[in-house]
Amino acid sequence: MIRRLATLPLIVLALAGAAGSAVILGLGNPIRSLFVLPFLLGGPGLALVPLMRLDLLPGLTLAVGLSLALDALVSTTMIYANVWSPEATLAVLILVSLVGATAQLLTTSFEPDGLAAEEGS
Amino acid sequence: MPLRDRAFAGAATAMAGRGGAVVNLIPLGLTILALAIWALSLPGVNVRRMTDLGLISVLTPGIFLALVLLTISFAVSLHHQNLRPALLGLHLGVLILMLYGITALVEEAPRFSVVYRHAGFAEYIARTGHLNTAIDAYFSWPGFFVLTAFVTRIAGLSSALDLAPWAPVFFNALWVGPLYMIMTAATDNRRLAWLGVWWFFLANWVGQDYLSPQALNYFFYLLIVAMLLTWFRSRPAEEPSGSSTRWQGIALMATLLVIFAAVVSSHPLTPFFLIATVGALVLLRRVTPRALPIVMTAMTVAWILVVAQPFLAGHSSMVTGSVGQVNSIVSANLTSRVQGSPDHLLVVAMRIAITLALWGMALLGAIRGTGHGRDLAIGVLAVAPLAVVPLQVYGGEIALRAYLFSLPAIAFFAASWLFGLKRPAAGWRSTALVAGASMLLLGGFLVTRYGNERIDYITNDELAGVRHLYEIAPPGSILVSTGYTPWKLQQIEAYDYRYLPPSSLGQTDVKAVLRLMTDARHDHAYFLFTRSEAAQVDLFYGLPGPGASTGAARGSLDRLVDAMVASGRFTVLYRNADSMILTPVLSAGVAA
Repeated sequence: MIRRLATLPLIVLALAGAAGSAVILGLGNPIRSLFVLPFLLGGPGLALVPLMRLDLLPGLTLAVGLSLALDALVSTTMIYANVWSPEATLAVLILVSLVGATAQLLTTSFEPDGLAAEEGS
Repeated sequence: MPLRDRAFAGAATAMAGRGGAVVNLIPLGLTILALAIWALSLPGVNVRRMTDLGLISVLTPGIFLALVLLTISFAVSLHHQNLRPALLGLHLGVLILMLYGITALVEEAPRFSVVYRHAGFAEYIARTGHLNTAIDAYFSWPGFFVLTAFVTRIAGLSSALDLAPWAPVFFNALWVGPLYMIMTAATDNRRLAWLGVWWFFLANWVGQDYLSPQALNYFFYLLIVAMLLTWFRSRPAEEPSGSSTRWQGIALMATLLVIFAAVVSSHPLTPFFLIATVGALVLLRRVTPRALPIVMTAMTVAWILVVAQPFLAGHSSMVTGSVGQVNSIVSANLTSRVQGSPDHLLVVAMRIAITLALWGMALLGAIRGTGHGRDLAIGVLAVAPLAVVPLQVYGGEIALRAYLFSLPAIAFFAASWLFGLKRPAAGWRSTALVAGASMLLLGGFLVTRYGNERIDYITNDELAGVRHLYEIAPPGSILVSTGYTPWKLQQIEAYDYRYLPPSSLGQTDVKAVLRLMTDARHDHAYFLFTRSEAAQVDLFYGLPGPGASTGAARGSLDRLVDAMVASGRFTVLYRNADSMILTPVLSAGVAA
């Protein structure tokens, strides 16, 4: 199951960190695209979908779908709110990802069998 | 088991005693060999020599050999005793690369003139931070273009065109996940599921996977349907439900509605396909969320009335004018497409033949599968999209879209028909049958998918001509072409775009062109001529054939341009091998 990937919240944090750093540091391409695009493709979804405890393949598919949907909705909302800013849009998506990843870490810690047990299963 | 898994049992048993490990290595080796042959053959493809048959006319033998090897390898893998999802996934990935990535590797610039217009929409949004519904209807459903603008800017790309060459590979790869979920929701037979997915990609010739809102929204469509069939399917009381807890069900439904919100805000057509499909699934009690079609309809109507209202106010007849107008819908979607040069007519005939053959196989497969509850659910996916066809012409593309939305179910049923043909004992014969049928589809795909490629590929010289046009044309200028050219890629709001009517081509009517380019409100006017425009006129209005009724003949556009130059009323401002820019003499002095 997708929830059993113990390192998933850490991967999300790494993706978010890489994307944010690439933009803040003003990295050029192709490095910048390599840091930013993977996060946009999977970051927000991988932060939230594992909380639903789904099987691996459907879970990953849904994570990508949710990521792209959130990318589109957040950026479109910025346009309609007359506050268009790619950087602010990325910040919102990173925030969503941080919340989801933190929730994953917290909820897994409080489970009786814990992450280690799940990894071993 | 909803569909019987008999055909492959024999093959599996046969292989088990013949050295499973060796048999397992053969497909891997064949796949690597196919990929190597394909890659080494690419430099031999010269798109400049392409005929009206499209890309297939310039493919080298190595490309065909690679595809045949991959097909055989997939068929062998599918019959292995222990099904290897990773190996089958590798085959699928290589197939998508070979079929949908080839143009990115053999052509000079991103293909398809529409892509440049889409890049122009994203460029406008990225540059201004606003929408402009006066430019195009898509600004009333801007989700995809805003997303593209956002991705382009935040990834530091120079233009959305940087994303375009590999968009077909990206989107087709994206579709694999939900397609597999749909197939596995319809059958417990994993081999049938894999073959259904495989055939989907061999039959997806409609080409809606370029950088476009429909490509992304098709993914959302598949995903929403996959979610419903996986986690919200109606089940017998003794079967466990798809979502294990109430919280999980609520979270999944919330996710589904978020995805649908993205659909509603980014494409005018996909919400209606979703409402039709989900509505039919609910009516036939195949999925449990009874209120979902109502919620979806409410969200769609709300968007149209609140956000898209400015567009509708000026285009209500465009939206409702063709409802039930069977003649105009048939004409726009079929009759008008069956015309053009002899080779193009062959391509069109192949498209019709492949479609009918696939639907015929699917019908036989559906008849085999009747009596199984889940088959009815996937049968809905085949039929429900057709309900949208009588409602809209959609630029003559509604039938193509309906084909695409039905394709997952059609590919599934066609595959299930083939699986039922042979009894378990005929293992290798079954393998050969899968390989043979796949090769037939593959041959058809290479003709049908890239049959318009002589129009669709764009050269660097064409692009150089267009870029030069934007350098010399002051904002406010009139820009004229047939439309099949890579323009509108920048400053889309700054120009008055006008289209050359087919009648002026057929009659070589220079005065008509001059009238089109003369307007007291504009100081400058430019006529853009590119290679892809000339190819479009050749293919769609070529002689002999019904195209002659428009008066347009092969080379009409070239003849018109020659006549414009010879008339002395136009000045050539720019010329290279594949493009030319002309301006009326009166404005030449100002424009130059």
